[in-house]
Amino acid sequence: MDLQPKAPPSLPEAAHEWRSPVAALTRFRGVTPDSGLPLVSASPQQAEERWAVPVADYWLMVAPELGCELVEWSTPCRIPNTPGWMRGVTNVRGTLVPIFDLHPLLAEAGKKADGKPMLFVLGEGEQAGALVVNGLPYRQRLDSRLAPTTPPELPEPLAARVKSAYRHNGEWLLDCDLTGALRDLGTLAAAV
Amino acid sequence: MKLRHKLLLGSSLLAVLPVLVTGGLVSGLSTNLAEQSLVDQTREQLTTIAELKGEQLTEYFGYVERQIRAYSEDPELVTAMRAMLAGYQGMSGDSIALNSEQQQALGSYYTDGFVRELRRRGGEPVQMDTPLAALGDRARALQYHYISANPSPAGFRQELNAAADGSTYSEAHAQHHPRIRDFMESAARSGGYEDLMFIDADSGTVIYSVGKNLELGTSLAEGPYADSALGDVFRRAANAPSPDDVVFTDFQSYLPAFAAPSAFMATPVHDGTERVGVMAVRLSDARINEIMTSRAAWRRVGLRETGETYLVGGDGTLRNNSRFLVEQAPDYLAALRQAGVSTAVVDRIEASNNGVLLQPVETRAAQAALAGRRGFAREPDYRNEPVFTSYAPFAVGDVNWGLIAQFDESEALSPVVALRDSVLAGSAAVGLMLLVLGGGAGWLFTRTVVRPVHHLESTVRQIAAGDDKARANMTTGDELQTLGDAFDSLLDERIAQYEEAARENEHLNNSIIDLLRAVSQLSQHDLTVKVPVTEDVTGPVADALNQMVSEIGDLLNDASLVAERVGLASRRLKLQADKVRQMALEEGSEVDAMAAELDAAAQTMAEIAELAERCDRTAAQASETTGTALETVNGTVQGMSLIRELVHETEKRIKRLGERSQEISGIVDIINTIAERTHVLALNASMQAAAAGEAGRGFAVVADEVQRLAESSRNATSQISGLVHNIQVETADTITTMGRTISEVVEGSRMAERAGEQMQQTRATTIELVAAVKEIANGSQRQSATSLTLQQKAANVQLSTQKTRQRLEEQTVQTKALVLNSNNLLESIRAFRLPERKHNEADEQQEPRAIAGGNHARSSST
Repeated sequence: MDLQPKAPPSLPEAAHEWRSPVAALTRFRGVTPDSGLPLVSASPQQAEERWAVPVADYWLMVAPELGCELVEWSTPCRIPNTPGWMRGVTNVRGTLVPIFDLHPLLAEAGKKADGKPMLFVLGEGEQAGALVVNGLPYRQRLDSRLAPTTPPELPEPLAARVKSAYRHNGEWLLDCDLTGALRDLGTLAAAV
Repeated sequence: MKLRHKLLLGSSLLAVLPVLVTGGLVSGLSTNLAEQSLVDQTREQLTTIAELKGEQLTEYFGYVERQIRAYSEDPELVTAMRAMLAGYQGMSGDSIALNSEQQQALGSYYTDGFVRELRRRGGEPVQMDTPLAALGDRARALQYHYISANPSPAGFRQELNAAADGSTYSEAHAQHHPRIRDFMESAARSGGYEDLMFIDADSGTVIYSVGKNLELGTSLAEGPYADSALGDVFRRAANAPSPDDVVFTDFQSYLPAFAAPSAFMATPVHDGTERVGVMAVRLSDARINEIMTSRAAWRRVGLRETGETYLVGGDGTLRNNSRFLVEQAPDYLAALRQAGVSTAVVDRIEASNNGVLLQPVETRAAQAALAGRRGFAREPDYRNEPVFTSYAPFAVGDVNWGLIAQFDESEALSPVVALRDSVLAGSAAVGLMLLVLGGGAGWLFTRTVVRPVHHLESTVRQIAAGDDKARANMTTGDELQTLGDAFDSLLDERIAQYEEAARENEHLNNSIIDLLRAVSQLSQHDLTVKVPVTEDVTGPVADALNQMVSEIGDLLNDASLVAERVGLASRRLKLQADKVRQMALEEGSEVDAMAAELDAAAQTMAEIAELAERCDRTAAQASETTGTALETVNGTVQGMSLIRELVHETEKRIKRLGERSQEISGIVDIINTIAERTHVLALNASMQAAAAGEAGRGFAVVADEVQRLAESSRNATSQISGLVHNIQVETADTITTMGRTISEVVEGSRMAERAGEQMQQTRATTIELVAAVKEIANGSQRQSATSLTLQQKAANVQLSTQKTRQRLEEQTVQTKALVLNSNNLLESIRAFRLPERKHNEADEQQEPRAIAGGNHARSSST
């Protein structure tokens, strides 16, 4: 077998510095990449991207630079005398993180959540808070294909934190300040 | 013979006899001495020749035994025998079945080709249907491909390397046959081999032969040739205690080789300690013929013109050809016929030009040699010719033969005959000379004696001619003169007595003439005549004659009366006989009618018996067919059971496959979980990278790729999960189907078993039916036999009636003859002129009793 390295495929100039793992692993002759895998690295314009998190009937979009984490669901420790959307606190690598469940607030009455529940943790340390999500988040690019529209009616304090709303493939995409919303909910829960 | 001749002969004999006696004695003594010397010489010569032939035979059989033992230990032969055996055992099923055309070709060879060749070689015709019917499927296949369809004729069939039947047997045959054939052909000249065979030790089947004769494929344990010499040698070799044992059987007529005289040698073949089979070779009589006939060079080995050596087997026949069959066949065959050998045997010897196993040798020398004795004898041989014989026993293994060397006595003693003839010729010449001299002296002596005798003879002739006065009056002065005087005195006395007797005789003649006249009148049926009684010797005769005539007259009167009564009784008897004859005729008609009806009944019974016998055969065939069907059903039941076990096994395997798919499903779930977690991890990495800004850009790329890979893994596991699910569903369906199949198989097995039980019941019923039909057939045959017996008895009665009728006819004729004879008797008696009968009342009253008892009536009348 001839193991001489073959000439790399012509790549964009921006990708010369970094070669994607797929391109790096398939640069030898006789190995063909899967057509479904990218040959180039992601675009550097990630500032225009958001993490879209499924909560009830909406996709809540969060800025990537916030620092967030997805954690397996574990039964939280309830906090007495708190509302129902305050599910309690849980231990995330030694830090107690409050858990907020927006499903009762955003879903239609009586509608149960679909999918496996997970925790979407925002922030770090004492500033961290977790949101119960019903699926895995994905990255959503904010380009010209998404046109802003009037946001739907949402309960407070979430309605105040929505910066813009988009309608895409029949789904609601809400670009919001989720950190602020969680802070508001914490304050609200503490006031009860 | 006259006195002169006697005297002359006597004197000659006195001269010749001493010479002849002396010559005879000298001839006898010299002949005996010479003969004794020649006999001793012949004994030594024949004994030496017999011992030489015995040594040659011992050397030959020892060579054959060593060669067979060595070849049986050849590893290549063991390999060949194993391959042939495996190929033979692999012949089964439809692959070896012959079609109808092939079956017909094989049958045609048995009943036509083989029999024609057998007849051409001088064998007696035999029925080959039984050996053909005894062949199994494998034997039929082998014999068709290697004998019937062999392009080479008998004697050259070894040229075929393999048949084109595609069997494993033919593959093994093609591989090993050429080498075995080459060995046998190279060894045949020195060993006298005709064929070499491999025999399965377990079944006794002849699985291979070089020459391809009719024993190929047959079992020597129970096949058509189990009782042949080959079967005997196989059993002894198979049971031989040692691998080195070589067994031998005597020559016999061997049918598969066209009844040629054949002997066999065999030895077990071992592979290590395992007994693979038996190897046997067939020996012809050619090599023994060469040794015993010295290759037709009898004179060169000192057997002169009539000498020969031969072997006699335990059955009393030759083991090699006679010299006379080779050199003087017509005279030899004629001598055999004159010696009392059956015409059939002589014809077979002439047709085959071979006397082995045919020519009987029942001499005392042969019997003594077979009994283990050796010696020398002078006796007639098998041609009934006197010979000198030296005999000795000869043994090959367990087989005992008699070894004979002989000369014709005429040839051996020919010098003695010449010596005797010369001595007798010399004696005859001397005797002749003495005969002439003795004859002259005897003639002179005879003259002095014969002259007076002639004078005496002349005198007797004169007296015989009627000259009563002639006398001898001899004057020689010796005993002859005394004899002549006595003769003269005797003549004088006898002539005087003769004249006196003539006178008395004339007187007696007159009396006899009177007597004859009276008898002449009596002969005219006149019993009233009285013969005159004289005083001479005829007087008592005349008186007795008169008395006899009177008695005869009375007797004839009584006879006349009895004849009348016999005539009356004969007529009554004739009437009675006529009535009896009429009754016999009527009875004969009745018996004829009864015999005809019995014939018809017997014919009907015979038809019934034949019908019953056909029924018996048909029922037996039905029983056989039922048996075959039962075997088929039993095979079906076993097959169904096997199928059921296989289906069970398949179901187990499919269940295990389902269990494995469950395990796969669990593993896929684990992989899916790992993929999901990997996805979450990748998401977290992307989030961390994004949070790190420009510093996490490279890490974000890796996180994206990990995320994509996790997504691909999830998709793949999802597809695998779907496939596994489909497999589980289809496995469950398959198990359900298998369950139904098992149920069907169980039901089929149960039905087959029921069919088997019903077939068994049918078979039992058929067997009972066969027995009943057989009983009917037997009863019908007995009844038919009884009818035949009854028919025979009726025929006997008919015959007896006919004989009775004939007897009655004869009785009637005889009765008629009796009546006629009684009339003739009466007429004959009435022809006599009888004296008056004394007729009174007492005679009339006695008449009825006279009819019943003639003696009493005669005494009454007297």
